[in-house]
Amino acid sequence: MFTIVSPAPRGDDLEYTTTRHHPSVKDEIDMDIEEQGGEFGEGPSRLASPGETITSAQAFMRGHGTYVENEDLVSALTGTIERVNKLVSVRALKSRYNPEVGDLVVGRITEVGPRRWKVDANARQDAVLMLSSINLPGGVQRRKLESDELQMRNFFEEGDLLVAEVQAFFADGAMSLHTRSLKYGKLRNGHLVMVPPALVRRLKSHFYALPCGVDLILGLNGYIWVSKHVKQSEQEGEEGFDAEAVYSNKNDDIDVATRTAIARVSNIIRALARHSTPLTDVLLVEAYDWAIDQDISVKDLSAEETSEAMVAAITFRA
Amino acid sequence: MAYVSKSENSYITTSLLAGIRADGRSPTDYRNISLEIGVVPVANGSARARVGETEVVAAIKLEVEDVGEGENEGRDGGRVLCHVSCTPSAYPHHSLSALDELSDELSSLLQSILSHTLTPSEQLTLVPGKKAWFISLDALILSDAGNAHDALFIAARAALWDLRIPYTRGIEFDIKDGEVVVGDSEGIGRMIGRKRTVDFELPDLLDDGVPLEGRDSLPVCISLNLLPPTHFLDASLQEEQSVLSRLLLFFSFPQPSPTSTLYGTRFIGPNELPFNMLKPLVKDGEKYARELAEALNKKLKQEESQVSAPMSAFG
Repeated sequence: MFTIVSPAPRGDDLEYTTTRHHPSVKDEIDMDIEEQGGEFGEGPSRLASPGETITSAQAFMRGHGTYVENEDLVSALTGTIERVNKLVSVRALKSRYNPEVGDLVVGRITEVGPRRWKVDANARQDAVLMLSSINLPGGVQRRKLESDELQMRNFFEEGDLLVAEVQAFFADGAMSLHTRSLKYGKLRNGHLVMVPPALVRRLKSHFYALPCGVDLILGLNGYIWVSKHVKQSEQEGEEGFDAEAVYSNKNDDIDVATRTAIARVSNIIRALARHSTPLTDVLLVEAYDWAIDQDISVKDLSAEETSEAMVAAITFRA
Repeated sequence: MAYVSKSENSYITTSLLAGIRADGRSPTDYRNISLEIGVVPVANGSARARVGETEVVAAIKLEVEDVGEGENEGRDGGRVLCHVSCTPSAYPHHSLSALDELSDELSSLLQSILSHTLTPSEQLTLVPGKKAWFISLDALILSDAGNAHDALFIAARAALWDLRIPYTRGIEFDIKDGEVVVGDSEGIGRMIGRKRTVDFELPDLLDDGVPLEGRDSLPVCISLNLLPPTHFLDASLQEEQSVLSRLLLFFSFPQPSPTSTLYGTRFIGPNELPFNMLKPLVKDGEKYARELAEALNKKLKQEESQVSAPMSAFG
């Protein structure tokens, strides 16, 4: 019942040999290193800590994550130093979600305000969901009315989870969301798993139905919704949009097998995230099959040895 | 402020009633506890405990106090002061005043349980009526992923286990026919016959001191999260927010006797706890607490043998 362990020794290994780049960028970086060598060295990228002088500001340009102080280029973050030609930037090792227009995010309502909701989406600022950018009951696309403003909590209230798309940015950098699609809206029948946002890559689709009867929504902000599979036809309803169902807070009946599958998928996601493995549907299906093959219980998936073995097995296969 | 939606809440509670937890644990399974002692080099005793992702660091500083009547003066048998700080990084959604409130609540809880178990103690008296030890325990909650109470007590207990009280020798003045003779008495100050211990000195020994007496029977905290008709242990943050009622039990197990002492109970949550439910809960809680205390003692003994091995080679 109680397992007490000593903490794992901290790695003194500061070389990040596994930093990956897009091929086009990689070529340029490689070329630079070949051309100039010297200051930034070869091989693994260097780590910088906040306040550390990276290089002289006269020879190089400051990029993201750096600033100039007394003619020196100083790092503002903990991260790897990257250089493209004369531009030096520091990419943070751990950061919050950096939104871009068109991204799919999963968020939680933190505040109901005048004609808008504040949404926590793991970014530096809370996102904003305007009353005008949600699907209003009544089926057809229509303008918001005063009566809608008065019953905003019937749509979303504090604590509710929703899936939405980044629509635009405000002047202060906060993102504006919209849920004007039948795929977006309130989340039910499952639970949330949080991973570092860097592990969710931009994919063709962020909605997956895994063969084990589990639906996944991979939010680019690192929030992942794991829920019971809902058939496409049921999801959309007969008339295309059913406000009652879309804004409902009640879960469907979920059997024990599905709940176990949901727990297993969540534990796999957590285990992969602990080993900094980017998540894709293929990888998750592989991992799920591996766990079933090896007859590993849901609980054991969170054990360190098991998750290591799993990551090794599936990254080898992939 | 609500952190879970209604549908999440109902999903979590119905799953718990079916005996399935989000991370596959059984209702009485604890997450992995990781424990490390001697993490703060300048403290007299320190420890870091992690329960899952909940992390607490505790450190103890010893001071010598003059014994007196006042609020901030020493007592015969020692005095304990506990302070818990909740870091803003552990509770990013709390306002500063809410953090202070939470810190005060945890401080008073730790204080009320520990001060009764640790004091008064012979070991903490230096010179009766004059000088006594003052144990100042500070705990820092670095992150809270649920079950902060249990983690806090695990850290505090491990720090007290790691505590070394320096050797002292009492200085006595022997009054014989009006003549004052200065003498020594080994050990901790005492009063025998006409001999009076009036001060103490620290012998110049390399050894770092003696551990606290009865450290293997220090109290543990066990939180029973109540979801009638069942209960579960070690709630994650989401579970904690869905199931609001908790019963905290503070047990101590004096060694080697098989008895147990219930030092305190605390009920947290908006619901009521029917009285007839309390007895079976306390009974179950005792069982869990005993296992936890035994596991902790075993781990701490093992940890200490690892830590002390290189130290004695050095000395």
